[in-house]
Parts: sequence; structure tokens; C-alpha cells
Amino acid sequence: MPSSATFDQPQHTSMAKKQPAKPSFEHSMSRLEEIVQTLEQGDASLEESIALYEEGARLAKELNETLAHAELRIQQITKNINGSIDITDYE
Amino acid sequence: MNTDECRIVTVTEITRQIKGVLELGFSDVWVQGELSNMKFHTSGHWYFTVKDEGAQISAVMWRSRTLTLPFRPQDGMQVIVRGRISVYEPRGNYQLDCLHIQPMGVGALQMAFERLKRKLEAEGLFDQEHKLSLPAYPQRIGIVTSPTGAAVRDMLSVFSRRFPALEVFIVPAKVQGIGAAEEVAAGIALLNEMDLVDVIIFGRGGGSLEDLWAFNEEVVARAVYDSHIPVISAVGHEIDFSICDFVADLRAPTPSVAAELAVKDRSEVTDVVREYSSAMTQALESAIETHRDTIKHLIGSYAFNKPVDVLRQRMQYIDDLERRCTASLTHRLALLSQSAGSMSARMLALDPRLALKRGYAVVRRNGSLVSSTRAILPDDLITVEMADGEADAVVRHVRPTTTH
Repeated sequence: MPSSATFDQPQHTSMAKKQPAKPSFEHSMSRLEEIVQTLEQGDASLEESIALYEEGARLAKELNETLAHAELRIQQITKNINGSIDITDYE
Repeated sequence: MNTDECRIVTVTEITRQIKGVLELGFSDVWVQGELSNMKFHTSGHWYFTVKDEGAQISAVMWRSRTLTLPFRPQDGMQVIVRGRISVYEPRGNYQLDCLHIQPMGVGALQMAFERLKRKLEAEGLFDQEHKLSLPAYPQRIGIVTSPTGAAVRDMLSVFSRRFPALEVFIVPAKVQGIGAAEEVAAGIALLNEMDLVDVIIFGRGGGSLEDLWAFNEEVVARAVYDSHIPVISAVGHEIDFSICDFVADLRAPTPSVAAELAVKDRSEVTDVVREYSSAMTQALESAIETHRDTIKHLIGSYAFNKPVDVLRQRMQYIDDLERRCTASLTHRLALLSQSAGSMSARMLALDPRLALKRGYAVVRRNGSLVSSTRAILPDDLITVEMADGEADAVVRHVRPTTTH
């Protein structure tokens, strides 16, 4: 087992919660869409527009990087007889 | 014949030798035939005959094995029996000791299928309003299937090709035979319990109705129904539906198609991002355009606050800046088009801060942007922001442009 994480069942729900650390791809996409709409409406001041544009450009860059460089990560979940759960790399 | 050369054996000995040969030679056989003479003994053991046009064989299925059989065999049913040959010495009989019986053909299974389908439909398990919608961009996908089958390989290859920005979690499960349905159901339940994936795909590659039977069992249907995570059924059959297909939030005819439905194509998503980016730059471009004339005019006003020679120096400096800026921009554009594509480069070219570098200035009064001569009066204090800093100035005259 090259990399293995073992945790007991009672703990796993808290450990397995989705980490909010990094905004998800879907969130970034919808934020970018929102920015485009706001800019297209043309109601924002130039300063606001510039700030939105910068945010949008950053999001687009991040999304492109994710799309260009991401690699599929595959893991296997096994529930043991004693109820503990293993997550291991899938070969 | 000389009795010295013949080895004389007892009945027990010959029977034991026959037993050895048969049980070793037929330790795992699959026999196809018709069930007849089914006897369900009170002990729970089943005694019956498997026959075809040319022969018949006695068979027994012990109670412990009958318990996990998903259906009740009947006389006349065409089946495949898996088991081994055993010899019953006291009677000199051989028989088929059955591990498992699979019905062949549609008859029995079709009936079970229709019965369960009607029941679950009546309970509302197939109702559209219960269906969950799939996330547009899932990041974590759970797969419940055999970890060694073609299905998992097919799905993983679709993911790597279409949208590799994924974490895939495989929950191994038997997908055929006794206990398969329970393992698939447990896998779906486990992923729900762990709550770490955005979508679940379960299934297997194509096979006969018997092979796919696990996906027609109630326990799987209920696990799919109970899932709070969207579920895609990926049972490999092009024509027929499985019970699970009706319950799943989305039904795919094969595992590969399930994977394609789960994730968008990377190049399509890249196109969407590109479209957003150019829409964004276009919108900003026109916003800048509407401000441009005003800014030009304000620069004019600013110039009146300075002696002519300072103004000339300033203009020369701006000309110089513009040359340097263009040179630098051309260089950066070349670099960017190699690496990040023309989209990012175009955005960079339209960065409004470059307008400042080209000699435009932003005028603020009390910190807020001045975009009209109506916003200022003579003697107002204003701040003029340029590419490399700002200057405080006093408005001497205000001359709104009359031509606009």
C-alpha cells in the first residue's frame, strides 16, 4: 500500500467532510459567469468594472490551469470487517 | 486371465476409488439443463434432477446454499447449475452437489422483474420529482463496481480523456452472482455515509439477464433511492432496462456512457472559459471607451495647471513610456501566446492600467472618480493619478465640451 489512510468509522464523517479550503471548479465557473453578466450590464463604475475584470481574469487563469494540468487521482475505499474504512491508492 | 495379475478389490474400495476419481475430476462444473422432480425437504435441503433430452443427473442443494438464492426453482425451469460431483458411497450413487442455480432465459426472471417493478413503481421509487440533478462540474466521483472489470477501466479512461480534474473513489463490489446485490447496495450506502463524492456511478459491463440480475434486486433499488448523492446507473445493456435504471437519477446504457454523462469534455469547458473571457474583455473595453473622452478632456484641464515647459517634458515622458510599454507588451504577448493561449494575452492587452501607461489619467475628487466636468468646480482640489504616481491639483477653469 503506497499511501494509505485508515480511520475508524465513528470519526470518518467529520474527516470526510468536503474541505472548503479551495473554491470548487463549479463555484469558480459560476462566479466567472456572474462577473461576465455584471460587466455586460454595464451598471458598474469603471473602478468596480476593473476590480471585477481582474477577479474574472484570475478565475479564468485558474480554471484554465486546472483544465490543462489536472491529473486523474484514483483511490479505493474498503470497509473492513471491524467496520473501519481504508482509503488506498488504486493501482 | 490369471487372478495373480488381477488385483481384487472390495466394493467399498472400488467405490472409494470411483469417488476419488469423480470428485477430483468434477470438482467445479457448470451444468445446463432442466429442473425436474423438485423436492423441498423439511430439513431445508432441496433434492431434484437436472436433465436434458439424453440424460439426467441427481442433484442436491444444501440448506445453507438455498438461503442466498434470489428465486425459488420450479420444475421445468431451464437452469445453469454450478457445483461438484459427489459420490454417496452407501448407495453407490453420484450426484451434483449444487453451489448455485441460475435461471436461463426470460421466463422466471422476467416474472420476478415485472413483479418487483410494479411494486416499486407503486411505492413511488421511480417518481421524477425524487430525482436529483447532477452537478455540472463534479470534482469527486464514487464508482461502485468490480475493481478488476472492464467497466472500471472504461470509465477511468473516459475520465482521463474528457475531464481529468477529478478524484475518483472506487468502492469494490461483486457485480454478479450470490451476494452481488448486497455488495453493490452496501457500496452505495457507504459512499452516502462518508459523504465525500459529488456523484455516484454503479454498474458493470454487459452480460446476460442472469449476469445482470443483481441490478434488478430490491436491495440495490432501495440503496439507489435512499442515496442523497446523485446516482447514475451504468449497467451494460443496450436494449433492456434494469430495475435500478428506473430508480437512478440518470440511466446510462454502458459504464463508458455513464462516465461521459458525468463529466463535461475538457475542451468544451475550455471554450466556455474562453467565451466568458472575451465577453468580459469586450464589456470592459466598451466601458473604457465611454470613459475615454472624459478622461482625455480632464487631462486637458490638468494641463492648464502646469507651466508649459513642464507640460512638454511630461508629454515627452509619456511618449517615451508608451514606446517602452508597447515594446514590453509585444514581448509579453509573444510569451503568452506560446504558453497560455491568445485569450489571456488579449485580456492583458486590454488591462485598463495600460491606459494610464499610455498617458491617460484618472481624476479623483475626495477619493471618488471624476468622470464629468459637472462633478468639479473651480478651486476644487483634485488628485490626478498617472501610471507612476499621482499629483494634487487645483481646478482653475471648467470647460464642458460643447460638441458632445
